[in-house]
Amino acid sequence: MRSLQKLFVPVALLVLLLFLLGLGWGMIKILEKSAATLLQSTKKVESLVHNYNWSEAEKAFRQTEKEWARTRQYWPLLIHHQEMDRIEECMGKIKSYLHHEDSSNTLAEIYVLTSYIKHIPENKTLNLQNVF
Amino acid sequence: MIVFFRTLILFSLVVLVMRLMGKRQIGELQPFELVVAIMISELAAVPMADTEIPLLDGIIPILTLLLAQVTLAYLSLKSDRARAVICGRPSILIEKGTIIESELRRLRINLNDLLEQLRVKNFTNIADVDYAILETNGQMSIIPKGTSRPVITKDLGINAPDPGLPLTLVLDGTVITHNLKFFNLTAEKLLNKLKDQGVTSLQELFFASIDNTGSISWQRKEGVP
Repeated sequence: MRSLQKLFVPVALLVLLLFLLGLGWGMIKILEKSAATLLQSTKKVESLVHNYNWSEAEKAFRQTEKEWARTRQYWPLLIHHQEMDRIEECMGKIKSYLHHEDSSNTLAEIYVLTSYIKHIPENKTLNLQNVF
Repeated sequence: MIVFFRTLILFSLVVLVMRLMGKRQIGELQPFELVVAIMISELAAVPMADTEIPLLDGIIPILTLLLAQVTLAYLSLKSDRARAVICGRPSILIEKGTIIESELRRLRINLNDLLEQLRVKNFTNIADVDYAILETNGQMSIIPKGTSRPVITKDLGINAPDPGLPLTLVLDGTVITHNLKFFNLTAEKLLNKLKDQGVTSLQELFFASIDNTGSISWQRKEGVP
């Protein structure tokens, strides 16, 4: 019993360490997975716009919006809310450009959206660049 | 409203973390404990006010500091070498009545600082001091010379009884039952003891305590006749 009591502090510290590392790793994995889903959906819209298939592009973008609606439920727990506002703003612009069948602006905004989404998991990944 | 709840969450977390870090954290701090205390307050304050920052960005660093602080405290408890590295060692500033100049220079303490610390400890004359030690938490301990130390009962050959620990029995009308048990008392027995002093109910007492001789001191609440 006494030896168990002696081990309590190191074991509790180890559990806390594993919890924090696991939490950090889990956060990165969640962000990577949801960002990949969003990027895949955005890529589809991009290729449809390239082919001037506006009705399909709008349909595909609605799917992207649905993906985003799911993602935005838990992303505020993990990332700075300003980054989400930027994505929302970008998506609003894309919706409007798609509606007016403005290919150059749509593609430009899709490029910006892609870089915003890519930036989020990249920013949280553990590497020397991010640490320093 | 969001700020209200975020503040409550972070406040609860900081209180919990400070409790887990131990009593020393709020008393006399070691250098690394001071650093942790400053950093925690800052880490909690920023996400408290800025609702754009995810709460986890405040919680994770606070828990990480808890981990680091308790690990260092645990290591310094278990290893003398680790303690010397983490907390430093006490420094002797006055040894056998002689001021150690090299130590004062090393610690960048000038003579005025030393004299001030001695005065704070009620030693107005440096000649009365045998040893002055700067402890690792920044406090100064002073050992006076034999001729300058206060007289104690042992010097007078008096065998004074140990004072023991006086225990509180009643606090603002509430009986502290676990303290009563130390003296094999119950609320009824206590009331019986105080009845002949005019106490009719323990609820009318503001305060009651007992010392190791069994003597009970008490005071009525204001307005109770």
